[in-house]
Amino acid sequence: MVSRTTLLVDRLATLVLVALLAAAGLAGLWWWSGREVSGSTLPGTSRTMRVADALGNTGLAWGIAAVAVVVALVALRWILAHLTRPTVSRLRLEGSGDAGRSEALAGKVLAAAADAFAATEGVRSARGSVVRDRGELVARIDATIEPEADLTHVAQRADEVSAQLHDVLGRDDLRAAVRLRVAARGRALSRVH
Amino acid sequence: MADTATLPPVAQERAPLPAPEDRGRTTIADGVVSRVASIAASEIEAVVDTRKGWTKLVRKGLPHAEATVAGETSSITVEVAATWPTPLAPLVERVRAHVSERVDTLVGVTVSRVDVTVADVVHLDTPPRRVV
Amino acid sequence: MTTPADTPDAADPGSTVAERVAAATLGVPGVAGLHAGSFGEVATYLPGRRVTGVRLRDDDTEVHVVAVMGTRLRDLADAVRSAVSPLVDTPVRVVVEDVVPDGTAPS
Repeated sequence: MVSRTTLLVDRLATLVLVALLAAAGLAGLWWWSGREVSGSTLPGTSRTMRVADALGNTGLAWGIAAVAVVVALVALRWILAHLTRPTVSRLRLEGSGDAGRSEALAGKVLAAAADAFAATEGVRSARGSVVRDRGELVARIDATIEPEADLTHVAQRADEVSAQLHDVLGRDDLRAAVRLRVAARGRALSRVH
Repeated sequence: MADTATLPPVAQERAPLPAPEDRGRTTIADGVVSRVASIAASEIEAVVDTRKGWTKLVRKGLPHAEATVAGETSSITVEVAATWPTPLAPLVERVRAHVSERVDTLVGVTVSRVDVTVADVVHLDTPPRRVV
Repeated sequence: MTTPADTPDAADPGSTVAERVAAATLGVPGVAGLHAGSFGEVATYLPGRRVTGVRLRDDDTEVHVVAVMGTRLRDLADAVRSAVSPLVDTPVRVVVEDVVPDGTAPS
C-alpha cells in the first residue's frame, strides 16, 4: 500500500525510462544499418578525446559528484516511500475536546473486527488494519476463506462486520473494505463431515 | 491508660472529641487518584478488566490509569479495553464522566481533564470454530 | 464491625497499644486493611511479632490504611482518626495508601 503521489512518480519514472530505452534502441538500429536518415548518417567511429578533456576539468567533476549525491538521496526517498505503510495507529473518536482526548488504537479495533469475521463459518483466518489510502481512511480486513465456503453467507457476514465496525468507531469518513482470498485446497484444515 | 482503654474503638459515635482536623492530619498517597480512576473505569459496563482471569495471560493489564495531580486538580489518562461491538465514542464518554465523578467525590480532587484511549477491543463471544 | 467481644482491652496483657490501634482501624467500615507504606517501612515491632501499618511515636501516631472503593477517603480518614484517638495521647496521622475494588478480600 503506497500513497497516491508515489504511484504517480512511479508511473512517470517508468514512462521516462521507456522513452529513453526506445530512443537508445532506435539509435542503435540506425547506427547498425548505416542508412541515411533525413540526410545524415552516424559515423563509423567515435572520438573520445572530448570526453577525456571534459573529465580533466575539476569543476565539472565536482558538479557531477553533487548531482550524484542528489540522485542518491532522491533514490533513497523513493525506496522509503515504497517501504512505509501508511497505517493509522490512533483514531480520534467523537467527543474529543476540552474535557479530554478520546482515542482508540485502530489496530486493536480492527483486530477485534477481524476476530468477529473469522468466527464466520467458512472463514479460516482474518487480519485487519486501518490505512490511509489516497487521502481516505480505509479499514481493511484481509481474510482467507475455505474453498468450500458459502460465498453468499460470507459476503453477508462481511457486510454485518463492516456495519458493526462503523457503529463501533462512529466515524463517517471511514470506509470498510473486506478482501477475501480463497485458501489453497490442499492446505485445508482437518474437517468433520 | 485505663480511661482510654475502656473506650471501645467505635467510641467516635458518642465520645465528645475535638473536631477531626484538630487531632491530626490526613494524607492521601500519590498513587490513590490513579487507583480510584482505574477502578472507576472498570466499573463501566462493556469495559473489560484484563487484569484478572484468562485474559491476564495474553493481554496487558487494563484498565490502566495515570494521574498527574497538581494541588487540588488533576489530569488523568485512562486506557481501557472494550468488548466488541460496543460503540466506542459513547463508551469513552461514560468512562470519562464516571472517572471524573468518582475521583472528585471519593478523593476530593477536582478533575480538569480525562484522556481516554481504547487500548484494546476484545471479541469475547467467539464460538468454537466450526469447520464445514 | 467490631464488637466488644473481639476488641482487645487493657485486661488482656498480650494486647499492646499498637495492636489495639490496628484492631480499631480494621473495625472502621471502608477500611480494607493496613498498609506497610511504599517501602514496607511502616510497622511497630513487638517481641516476636510486628504490627504492620501502625507507627507509634512520642508526639505522633501514624496509621496507614487501604480503603475499599466507594468510600469517601477524607471521611474514612476522619472515622479512623476518631476510632484511634481514644487509644493514644498524640495526634493521629492517617495515610490512605491504596484503594481496592469492593469485594476484594483485604490483604
